[in-house]
Amino acid sequence: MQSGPQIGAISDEIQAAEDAAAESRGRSESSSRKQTRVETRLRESVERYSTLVTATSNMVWVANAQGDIIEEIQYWENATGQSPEEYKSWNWLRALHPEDAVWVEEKWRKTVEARASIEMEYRLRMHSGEYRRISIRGVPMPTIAGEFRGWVGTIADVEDQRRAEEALRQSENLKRRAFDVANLYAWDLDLETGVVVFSENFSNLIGLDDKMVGSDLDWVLNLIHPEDREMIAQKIKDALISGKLEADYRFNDPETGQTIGWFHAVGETVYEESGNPTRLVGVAQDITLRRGAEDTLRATSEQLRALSARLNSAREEEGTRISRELHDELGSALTSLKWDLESLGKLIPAHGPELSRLARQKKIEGMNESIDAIINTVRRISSELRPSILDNLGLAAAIEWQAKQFESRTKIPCRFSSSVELIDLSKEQITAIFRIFKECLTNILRHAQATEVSVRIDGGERELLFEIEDNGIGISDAQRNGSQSLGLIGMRERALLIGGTIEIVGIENKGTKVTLSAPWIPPARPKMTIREVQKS
Amino acid sequence: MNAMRILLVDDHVVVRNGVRKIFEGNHDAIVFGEAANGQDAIRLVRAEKWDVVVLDITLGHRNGLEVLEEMKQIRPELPVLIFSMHSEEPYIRRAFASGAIGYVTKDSSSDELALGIKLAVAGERYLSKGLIDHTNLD
Repeated sequence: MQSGPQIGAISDEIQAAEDAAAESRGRSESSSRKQTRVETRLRESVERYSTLVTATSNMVWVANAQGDIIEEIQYWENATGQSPEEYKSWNWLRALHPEDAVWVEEKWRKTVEARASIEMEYRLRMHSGEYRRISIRGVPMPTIAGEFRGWVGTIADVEDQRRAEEALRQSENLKRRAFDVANLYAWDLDLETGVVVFSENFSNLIGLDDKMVGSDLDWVLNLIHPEDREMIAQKIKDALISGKLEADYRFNDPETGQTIGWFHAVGETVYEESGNPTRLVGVAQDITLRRGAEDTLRATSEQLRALSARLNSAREEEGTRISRELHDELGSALTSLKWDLESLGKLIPAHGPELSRLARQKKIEGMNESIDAIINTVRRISSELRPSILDNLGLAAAIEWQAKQFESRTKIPCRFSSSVELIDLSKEQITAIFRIFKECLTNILRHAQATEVSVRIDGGERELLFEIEDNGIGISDAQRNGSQSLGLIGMRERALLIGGTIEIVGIENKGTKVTLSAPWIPPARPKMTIREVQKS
Repeated sequence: MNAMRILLVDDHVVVRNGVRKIFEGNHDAIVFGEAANGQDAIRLVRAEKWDVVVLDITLGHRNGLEVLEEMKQIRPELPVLIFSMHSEEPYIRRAFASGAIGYVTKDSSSDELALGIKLAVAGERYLSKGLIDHTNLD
């Protein structure tokens, strides 16, 4: 569709041709050939104009000097359903949105008075009842013989365009707001020139004056904390190959050197058709608060872990103390009582009424049995609190003994083997491994439905491996990771406290394997004497 | 006839007194020595001659089995009878491996203890009857 300036140019052409014709007629030129040439030019211009109007006739309007629409507008009829009689003159205003009709009329009136050009947009009611935005442009037609003839202009339906523009605007606003809310900024690095473009909120986000924001990679790298620069430079290089970038880094205030904050960037490489990387684009988010929270969480976790270790330690110490006192003090006292009873039994006279002698003998035997039972109970309680074998004979002996106890009690064969004789670990490590082992046995008994268990200790260069495996139903992922499995959580916690790791693997209907690894230094082999060397 | 010299090593005086009482009224002369900890026990073993040592495993903070090994280094021929509340097989194996000649648990009868001491003096091995039954040791 021809625009207003182009219609104006054609109108000027017509005007010029008409003027030329008038001039020619006025001078009474005798040359008919000159007149014919002028008339031809005029005809051609009119034809061009007519063709243009025909081509765009449904979008062109014509108004007279009073501002009346005087020609039919096919577009208007199709769009609004108004007949020419309904829209000519000033009646076309009736098809406008009520909110627009008043100011449009006022503007058109002023335009008519001023005989000026006009450009405006208003809402037009379609025959469907829907309103669509229309753009009107009009220019005054050339004056002929001093007479102002009116306007010619175009109508364009811009509803779709305005909707698209509005959607884009809203999208941009939403994006801007989202960036602000999420403390995000966007960046775009031209890999060839090194120029970096940031989103408009960048300077505000990092608290720098707009004037201080640079536009090249060197400036960005200088803004980054010195400890993070090399890493970022490497990440950019890696992104050219991998196509992706992700990194955490700090920005420093260029004037004070203080850290502005932590940022997390993600980006991807843009390649041209040849496959060469051309740009790196992405977003970065201010994660200063998150890092602070993570640091606090880490510190809190460490404190909790330390507290847990202290509680465990205190519990073990208390258990050890009670166990020892039960075992030794109470046990020894009971032993002494037992012997006193035996002595009493020996004092029962051999002579005397048979019945009373037998009764006393029986009574003493009964008391002896009671004492034996108490001694066994004391042993059991003491052992459950903390088996003394752990402290007196070491971890391997304690595990082997515990395995045999398990087998004896449950009738589930429990095989033990160890590749190391001397396990030199700290008391905390020994306790943790033993407690984990006991927890494993408890779980096997309660859940595994196993018929065999094997326990193994292996000593490597830097770590001790402890494995317990059963042939049961196998622990499921849900059971292993469930928040209710406090026993497993406790095991992991114990392993962590001694600087170790624990892995639990279950295979359905095949069994479960628990592997604990703890850091250790293998004990040095004792040096051989010269005699031993000679003997060997 | 020389008196039998028995060194009692136990951190509980009630146990030491109990052992003494077992041999009260015994016609044979018995001389008792006592130590409440490993350090005193080693000192007495070095300083005097004994026919048998009756040794507890839990001696306060010192492991009686370590004391046993030290004693056997000082006096290899000295019979040491373990007298302990512990009846678990690992203790028994370790005790014999470290050089003990016998093992009697504290819940044994006084007669068993007396027998164990006599056999130890004679250089014969002894194990409480209850231990043979459940540890398969002989």
